Amino acid sequence: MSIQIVNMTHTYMPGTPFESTALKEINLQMDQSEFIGMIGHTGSGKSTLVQHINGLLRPTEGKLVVYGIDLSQKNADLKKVRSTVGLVFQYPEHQLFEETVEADIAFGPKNMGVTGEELKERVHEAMRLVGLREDTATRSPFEMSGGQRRRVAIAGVVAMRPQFLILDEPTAGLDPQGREDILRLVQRLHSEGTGVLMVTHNMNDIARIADRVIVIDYGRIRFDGTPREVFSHVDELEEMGLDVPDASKLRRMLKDVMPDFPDDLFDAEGVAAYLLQRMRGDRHDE
Amino acid sequence: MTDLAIEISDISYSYALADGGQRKAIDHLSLKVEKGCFLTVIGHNGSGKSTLAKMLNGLLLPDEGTVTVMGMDTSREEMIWDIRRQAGLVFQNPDNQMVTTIVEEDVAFGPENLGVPQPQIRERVDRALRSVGMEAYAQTAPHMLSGGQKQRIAIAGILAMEPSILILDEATAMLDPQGRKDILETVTRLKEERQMTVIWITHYMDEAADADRVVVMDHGKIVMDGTPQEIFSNVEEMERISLDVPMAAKIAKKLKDEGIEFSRTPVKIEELAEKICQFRS
Repeated sequence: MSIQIVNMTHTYMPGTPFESTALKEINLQMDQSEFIGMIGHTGSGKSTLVQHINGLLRPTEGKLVVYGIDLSQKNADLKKVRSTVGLVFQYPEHQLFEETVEADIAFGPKNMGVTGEELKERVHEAMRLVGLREDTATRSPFEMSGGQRRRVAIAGVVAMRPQFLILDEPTAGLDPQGREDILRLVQRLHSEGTGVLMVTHNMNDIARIADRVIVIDYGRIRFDGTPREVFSHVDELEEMGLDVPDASKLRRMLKDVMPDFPDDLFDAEGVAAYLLQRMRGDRHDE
Repeated sequence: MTDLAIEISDISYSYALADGGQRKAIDHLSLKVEKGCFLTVIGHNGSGKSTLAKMLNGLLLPDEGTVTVMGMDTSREEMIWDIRRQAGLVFQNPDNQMVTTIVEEDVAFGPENLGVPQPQIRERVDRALRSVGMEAYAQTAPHMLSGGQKQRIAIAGILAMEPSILILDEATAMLDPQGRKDILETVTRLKEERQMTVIWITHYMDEAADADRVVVMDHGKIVMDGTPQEIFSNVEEMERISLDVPMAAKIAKKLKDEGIEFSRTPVKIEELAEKICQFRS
């Protein structure tokens, strides 16, 4: 298992009047072969959890092992963890600062000690993976569109060749085209062997592309399973203030008239095909 | 007296680029918006919708053509403060819109600048905070609030100036689903209670479902204009300009292609479910 979390708890500012428990007894295993979606409302503890896996926060209690490195230990090799698990923050384009695209992408690997030809190669590979054209290498990232800038920021993390990539709302604030482009890019990275944990609010997207969904609420894991399993809990998810995929809503509304509506359909094509078959079938019955 | 809140006649606007060139953001655009209308403007990044928003309260002036807001031409410099009082603009990033350290002072900032007498400011601030459901936070520091709460304070700050037109430029883009829902509900209610004209700019298609009218922008032009049903039943055109349509409309389109037709295109999933039930009975 690439990432193992056992009974992990995190308390902010322990022993002060501001003490608050952000994560409570988390048990979780994640493998590099997976594409995992993580959902939960603002303040549920998602970001706190993600920052642990990348070694930015240390567990208050419990155990956290990332690619064989025990992060519960004080002397854990954090540098190693951060090059193995890449973290793309929310609005990562706000963190661009170099004068050219290639310099910005090179910043991470350079800090890891990569130089010369290998550095060049990594920058080019990252650009290819995120879909940036070669001729943008010498451009200023600040002259590019929002979606393009976000790709540059993601490329900067990709160039560190992480084995596992965590993305915190990578599509937030993007228009439909930009959103689709970023999702495709994450899917491509996954198909080339990178483990993915993606935090998102977009239920239609995550139901469609993730093979596992984890739901966090008040610092605890409430659901953990396939999209089909997790989104069968429509009522509970809504009680938590979370959205659910449109297909799950439709399924609930039609449960009396179409009790056999499959619970693993999340895209418009699949739902339409099912409805069509049912509506035609009904006609023939008459 | 005209019934139009906004009248835009054949405007164009170009931004100057760093290399000395120009980029056309608005290209011969005309638009009339009636008073009390909830108009949603959609379009992808760079389509010109934010530029249009800034035209509506005189933050930008067109290179050609005219923009008239509540009967006032935005190019008349002496009218600019009246125009901005009439047409309030809420921006995308909640953190960039707070100017003071206490919520009620922030809301009072606008009317104070307008020279409203002190006792009236008190009244207006209280009323504005009640309108957005934030009266309990009057004494709170803005940094203690969530993104959605900050946007509601930004809206209250504009309401305190008692405008006729509320313009929201992707005001929900940085919010979580709950925050987005709160803002949309607040604005919809305000429109009813105060008979305000609302210009809602977004790239979330589902936020357009309840609008009176939807305008689609592409390359600085208006390429579609109609009710949400009219706009979202045209899936091909929306896809051509790389815009999404709500899931319900997408499913309805696929059914239509196979010969199952609905009298009115469902835009919300509830409408689709209803139609399917009707179809069966």
